[in-house]
Amino acid sequence: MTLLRDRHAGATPAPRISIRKYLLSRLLCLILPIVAIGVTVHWSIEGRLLRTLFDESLADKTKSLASLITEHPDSIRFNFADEFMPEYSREEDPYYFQIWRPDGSVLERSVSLRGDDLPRNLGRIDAPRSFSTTLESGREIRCVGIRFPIRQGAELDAPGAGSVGIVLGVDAADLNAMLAQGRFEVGLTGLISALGISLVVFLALRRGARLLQRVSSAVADVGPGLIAHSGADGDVPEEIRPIVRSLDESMERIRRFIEREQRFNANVAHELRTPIAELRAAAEVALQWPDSDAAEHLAEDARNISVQMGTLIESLLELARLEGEGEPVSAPASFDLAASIRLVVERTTNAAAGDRVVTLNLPERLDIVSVRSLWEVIARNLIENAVEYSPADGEVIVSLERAGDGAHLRIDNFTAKLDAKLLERCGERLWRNAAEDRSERHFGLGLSIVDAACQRIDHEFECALDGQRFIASVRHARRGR
Amino acid sequence: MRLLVIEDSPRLQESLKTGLTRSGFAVDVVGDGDRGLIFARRGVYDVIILDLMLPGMDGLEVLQRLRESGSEAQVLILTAKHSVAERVHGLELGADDYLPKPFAFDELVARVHALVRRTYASKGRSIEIGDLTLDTVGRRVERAGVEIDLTRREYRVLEYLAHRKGETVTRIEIEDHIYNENRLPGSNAIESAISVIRKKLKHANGDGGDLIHTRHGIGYCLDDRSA
Repeated sequence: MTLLRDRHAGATPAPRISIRKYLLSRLLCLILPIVAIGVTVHWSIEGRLLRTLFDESLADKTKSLASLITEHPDSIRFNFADEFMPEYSREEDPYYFQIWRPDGSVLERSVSLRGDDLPRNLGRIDAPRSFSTTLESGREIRCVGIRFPIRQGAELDAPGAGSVGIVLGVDAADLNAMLAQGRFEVGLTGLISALGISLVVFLALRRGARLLQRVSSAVADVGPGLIAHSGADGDVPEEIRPIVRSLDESMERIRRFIEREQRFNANVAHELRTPIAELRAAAEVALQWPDSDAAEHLAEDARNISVQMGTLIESLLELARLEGEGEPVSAPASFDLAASIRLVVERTTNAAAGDRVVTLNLPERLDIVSVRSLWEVIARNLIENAVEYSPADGEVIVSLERAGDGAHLRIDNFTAKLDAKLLERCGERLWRNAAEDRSERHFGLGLSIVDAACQRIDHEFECALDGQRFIASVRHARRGR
Repeated sequence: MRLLVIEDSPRLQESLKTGLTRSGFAVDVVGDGDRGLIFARRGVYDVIILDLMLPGMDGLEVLQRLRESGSEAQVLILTAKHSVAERVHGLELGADDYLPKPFAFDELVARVHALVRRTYASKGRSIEIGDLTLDTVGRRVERAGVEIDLTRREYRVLEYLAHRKGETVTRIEIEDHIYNENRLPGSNAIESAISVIRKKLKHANGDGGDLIHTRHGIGYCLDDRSA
């Protein structure tokens, strides 16, 4: 504990990451440029549209002015009266025009030009040329220029055909003001959109984060004294449901593990208290009445109890050795497993079988490459267990067969004391089926030892119940399970 | 006083039977809950020593059924279960005392004596009837300051009568409380023992008054008042 605390004290604290802030900044970084691009494109289209409309209206006006030009045998005339079109002569916000003969000389210019010239920048009548220019007076104007054949119906660029040019202009202040207004409105719309989107994103993330916070709180509320379901399954978002499910499964495993440990501790205490109570009672009675007939018997009991406790401790140590990661295991070697099991059966049944029948279904010889000592531990514990918990005249069947490169050992015995509900607790350390299974030689460690030994040699240990038939089997572990 | 030990460990059964018998009790031992309940329901035991983890019926169930049947026998739970919750549960089901394993044998005997006294509403370790004093723990009897030497059977008869001083006790009741299941006393064993006790008590007091009075056809009464 001290080491852990020191290590944490010296470490640089990890930066705190908020999923909400992270998503907010990422989304805004993504959305705001998109809004800016959208506003720019919008403005580009709208500005061009405004200019086009403006230029088209100017082109129409130019064409109507052009219709006043007529060809005469000796000249080209422009039938224009200032009094009917005052916009070409007024001081404020006037229109401008200039007309050129086919030879390039100026036919006419508006009074508003005050002798100034417009650029002779001309397009076709079906494709007028629009442009901006600045007069010598410094006034910026927008112009449209066209040229058209002087003779009606003639081709514009036919050889010998002359064309008249006309440029019409108007002060660009209105257009510029309209464009500025449009730019402002589009920009404002873009800004409002950006703020609105940011607000929506912020609120949506806050709402989404609330679900996460609820799950987080539910998980945080699961204290060490309450290893249970997180309780956060009601409105858990679909995305984190697997995490919550996995967390709940982990907690369920932890809860089972803790319960198993608690049962183990209680069982250890019970397994030790009972023989100590027997030992102490026997010793005290023998000491108090040393001359009694029972004193010798009680002393004998005390010796047996100490042997029993020694066996318990040896079993616990054997289990600890097998479960200890650092404990070395002998190197695998080739040996005849059938012969080893025969030997184990011989020793076991000599000691404890009584009237029980032990039937062997073993091949003559079954050579495998494995750790012989661990197989002997497995076989001894399984067979002793089967013999111990079989009825006095019951049968124990020991079967062995080859399975791939390894072997499949199966021990069957009959017992009326187990049911399917109790089956899953069979491998628990020091677990015994109530007091019926009290035994001076067995402590409920045999199957735990088998399980630990199997794990050391990468084998699987399984218990099953078929009616009153208890089946314990050991086989090579299947990969990917 | 007669005790019933319901304990499944054969070794502990033997130690308890030997030690408690040597301590002056008549002791019956059974090793499972079902038989334990059958024995306990007979109503002849002054104290029942009950283990909890028993084959067959669990110890707590034995206790519960015993109380449901109306038995008021003193029950001492003797078990390897140690937790406060387990003790509380046992006491709430009607146990009178709780002794966790491993235990000191002397403490067990002392607690059994305490329960016996509670059965017969005695307070101290001594019972006094006139000039007769019984030390129930030291199993010593004195009359008028003279110690009386009694056999085990005589002491048990006298102790039972002393616990029920002033009451008329039948021969069957005496037999039920001083013999265990395996002893089959002769038909006049109690009469014979009472006769000897009377003589020894009289002799100690210089042929003083008779404390054991015979109620013909009924039984005996230990009292310092004359019949």
